Amino acid sequence: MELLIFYPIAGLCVALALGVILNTSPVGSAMCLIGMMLGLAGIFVLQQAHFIAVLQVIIYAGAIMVLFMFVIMLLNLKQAASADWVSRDKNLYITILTSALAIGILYKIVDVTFMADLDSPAELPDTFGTVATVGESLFTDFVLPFEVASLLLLAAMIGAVVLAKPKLD
Amino acid sequence: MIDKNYWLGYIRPSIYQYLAPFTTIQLTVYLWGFKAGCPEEFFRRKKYTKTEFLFNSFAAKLPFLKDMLEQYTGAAIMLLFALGIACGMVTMTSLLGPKRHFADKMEPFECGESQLVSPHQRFSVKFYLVAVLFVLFDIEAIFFFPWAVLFKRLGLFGFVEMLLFILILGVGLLYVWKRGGLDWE
Repeated sequence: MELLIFYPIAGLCVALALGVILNTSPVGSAMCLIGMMLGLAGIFVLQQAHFIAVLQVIIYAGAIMVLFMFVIMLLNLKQAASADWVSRDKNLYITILTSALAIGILYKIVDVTFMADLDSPAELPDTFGTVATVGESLFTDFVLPFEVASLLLLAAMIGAVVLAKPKLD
Repeated sequence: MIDKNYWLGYIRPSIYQYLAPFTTIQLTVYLWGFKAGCPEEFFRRKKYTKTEFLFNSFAAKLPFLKDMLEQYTGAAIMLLFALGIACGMVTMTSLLGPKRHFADKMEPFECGESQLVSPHQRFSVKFYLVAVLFVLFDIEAIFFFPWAVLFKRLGLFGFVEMLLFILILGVGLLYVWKRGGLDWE
């Protein structure tokens, strides 16, 4: 029954991921990426990882996409430049490198999947990955990293303002 | 010495050789289906039509669906609510809002830009600042979710903890504000 929900979402994700790489317009690719990230959030919910699902929607589909849009805007990609992906021989080394990386990751995934002892899955508490469980360890065991995160955000905030508004008026 | 073709020669070639794999697959699928669907019916060996069989195996899985629906009822209601608000806003404004058409308004446009300007131009850095601040406060908001869920359980400790977090980011907000990061001009 879980598969009945999983397969449509997974199929949609794969279709949208193909949309990301096959789209000639960068903005179209970005829109497909948003859809794919929302689909991934659905898969995370199926895996009982609710907090990751929320992160996926708010951080990836929201914040990271904004940054992607900005890169697209600031780079000023021309339609023609983005469409000549067919002749990519000048980027041969990059192609080989990224393909090798992708194959390596895929190999690891397949390896782990088939080596896993599926008959006796590791025992996890029912609440593993829910918002409450993640929060409990975040606010008790990892208080210091949590507070340091706020300092990091503060530094980023100040840095952004200093970069964008260099002169005090 | 055993003839290499002994086993092949022993069994006379028959039509079953070719049918066997298919029959086996069919039988396996059939038995698995029954096992998942309705075991007690299987032992009674009642003959089912294909539709009945499919319906039964679906009905056996219904409790899972019910569990899942119960688990995510809140989220589903919230999603429906959000969808209703978004659709409602668009519908209501298009129904209730005044409609005044004039030539300039009916032109295609993009964020106030004239459509005859090349899109390949530099963007003001002001957009960048807004985007980065949005990302930062978005990440800040993420930390509130587990905190809100655990608010009662964490007690005063959690409250002070979050207060400190907000205070540090509040300093950042104050800095951005005083520096004019929130002003457009």
